[in-house]
Amino acid sequence: MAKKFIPFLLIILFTALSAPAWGKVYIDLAAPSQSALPVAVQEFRDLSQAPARDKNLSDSIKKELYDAIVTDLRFSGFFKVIDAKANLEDPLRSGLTESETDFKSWRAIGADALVKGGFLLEGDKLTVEIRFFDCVTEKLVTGKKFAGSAKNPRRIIHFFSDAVYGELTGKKGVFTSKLLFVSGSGGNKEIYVSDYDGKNATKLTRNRSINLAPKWSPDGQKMLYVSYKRGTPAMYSLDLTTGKDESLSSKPGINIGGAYSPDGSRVALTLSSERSPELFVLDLQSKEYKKLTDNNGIDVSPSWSPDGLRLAYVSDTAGNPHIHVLDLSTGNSKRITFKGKYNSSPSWSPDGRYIAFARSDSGRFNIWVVKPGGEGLTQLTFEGDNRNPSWSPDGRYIVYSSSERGGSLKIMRSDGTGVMKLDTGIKGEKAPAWSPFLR
Amino acid sequence: MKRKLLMFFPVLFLGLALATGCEKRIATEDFSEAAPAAQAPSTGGAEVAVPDESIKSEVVTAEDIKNTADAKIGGQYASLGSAEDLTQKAIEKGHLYTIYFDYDKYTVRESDMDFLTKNAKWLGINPDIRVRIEGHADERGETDYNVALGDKRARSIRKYLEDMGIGASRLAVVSYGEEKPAVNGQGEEAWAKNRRAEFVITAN
Repeated sequence: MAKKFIPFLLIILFTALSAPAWGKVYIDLAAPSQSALPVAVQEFRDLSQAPARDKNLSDSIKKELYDAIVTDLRFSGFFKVIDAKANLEDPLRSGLTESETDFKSWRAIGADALVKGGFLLEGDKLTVEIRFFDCVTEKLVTGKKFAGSAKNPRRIIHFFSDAVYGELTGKKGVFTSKLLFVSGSGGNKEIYVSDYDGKNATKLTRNRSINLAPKWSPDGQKMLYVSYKRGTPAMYSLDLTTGKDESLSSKPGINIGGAYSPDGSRVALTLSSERSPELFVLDLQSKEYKKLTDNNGIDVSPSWSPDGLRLAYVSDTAGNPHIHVLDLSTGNSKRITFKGKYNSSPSWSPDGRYIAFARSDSGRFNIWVVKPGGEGLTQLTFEGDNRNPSWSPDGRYIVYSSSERGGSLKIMRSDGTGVMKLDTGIKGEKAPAWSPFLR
Repeated sequence: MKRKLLMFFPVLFLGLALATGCEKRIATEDFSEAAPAAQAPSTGGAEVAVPDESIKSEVVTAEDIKNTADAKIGGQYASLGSAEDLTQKAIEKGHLYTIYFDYDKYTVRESDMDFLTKNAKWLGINPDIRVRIEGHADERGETDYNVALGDKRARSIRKYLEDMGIGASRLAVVSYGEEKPAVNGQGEEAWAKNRRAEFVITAN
């Protein structure tokens, strides 16, 4: 009846390791919800010494830890989390070991797996221990202890999730990756950074001007963005480790849509200092610009192929906005979309096999993917108005902006399933950019 | 009672027991329910340190703040604090008209040519007036593309004015894309009012 947990993990491990092709990985790794394993999560237990315990702080840490682990488990696609209200075992009356766990009571609520944890608060130091049990064999699968700042309990959980994900799949997890996004209106838009799940959103720009189109440097240490802080749209680079800002391109006209090359040495962008908005590549060392397109139309939104040899971009040279791919060695462009009134914001997948983009026929956009040669066109979203796709560093997920609630962010698996709404606590989020692996 | 007590053995000891595969329990103290203090997290494995969050926000300089404030009233082009008043008057008196565009187009439509010609004439007889042409787009397209579209619109206006004899040095251009709509709201009525090029006087 109940699936055996250990064999299940082995199956995941096996398929992950034996799946060299992207398509296969996304079928096997991004398990559809019906095959997800039911897991119960017990409330975290405060193991701090009684006199040092602050009830409010303790409760808030408990809640953050629980919420973060549940988010990570769901997001992984391997698990469906059983509502904590169903839990029968009293967290205060059980321990963190097998012998202190009444597995019968967990099996009774349908749990094949169980997560238990405790934490110890010593000043600002928060030590969290998490254990993962198989309810069928009644064995510990893995247990880990992490210590970090009590100011950010979620971060400790995300590190744990990365470690466990790595053990189970042999691949890097995205739980410690980040998102950049834009929010604001009426001549004031600022850029924010958040955890991958939208939490811990923090304002990055503070110049009270219009700030747009954030993009990560390949090492995750810098943010490229467009700002009107000096009057006209110019390109800046913010060092996220120091807060120092650098003006990268401020030619007359527009300096927009910048993207770092995969090796970080160049930036592709659109300039209109000549007669029309054209694509250029700026060499960050020599500060020299190389012109890539030359026409009387609009050429914007470059996205690099992971090997740095090609750029996907938007051009209206065909009469309306379409996705084109430019070969940097020959300078030749090839149009790869032929339908839709408006095709925009191309984003090349980390493995190079797909380009995600947004297409509209009616003013409402949806997310599609297409292969760089123009074949394999597939629609991923069907409802609402969805734009600005950006891939997770492992290529399993896509974050995008939806017009719901005046602008919000969503994540889906790269096959369009498993849509998850993000709650950043900030309104009107747009233009998300998923970071590379940050560790 | 004994069973119950056992359940509250320090996790530390049980962790050790687990690590050694030994089920022997060492009870040396009073492990009552009221004393969970003796428990500490342990898997018997090493504690992994999670580095603190290190992302820093933009350091905003005094110069940035001044630039942003200047930009809002005309930026580096502004020589008069009252530029907005002048612009307002010029619009009220019918000297300067906002030019509107069709969706995703940057050529001036036939019906707006009269207004553009009027603007050119007024600029022609007022040679000290300098303007900034601000190109805008409606919200339907993409951010980048709309900034480029606003730029194309402002530039196409400047080209017409240059062709009508107005010196390029008097005509600055800036595109705001979809970022500064004239009216909020959705639907063709609002969008039509937002696809535009506005004239702002920056010097007289």
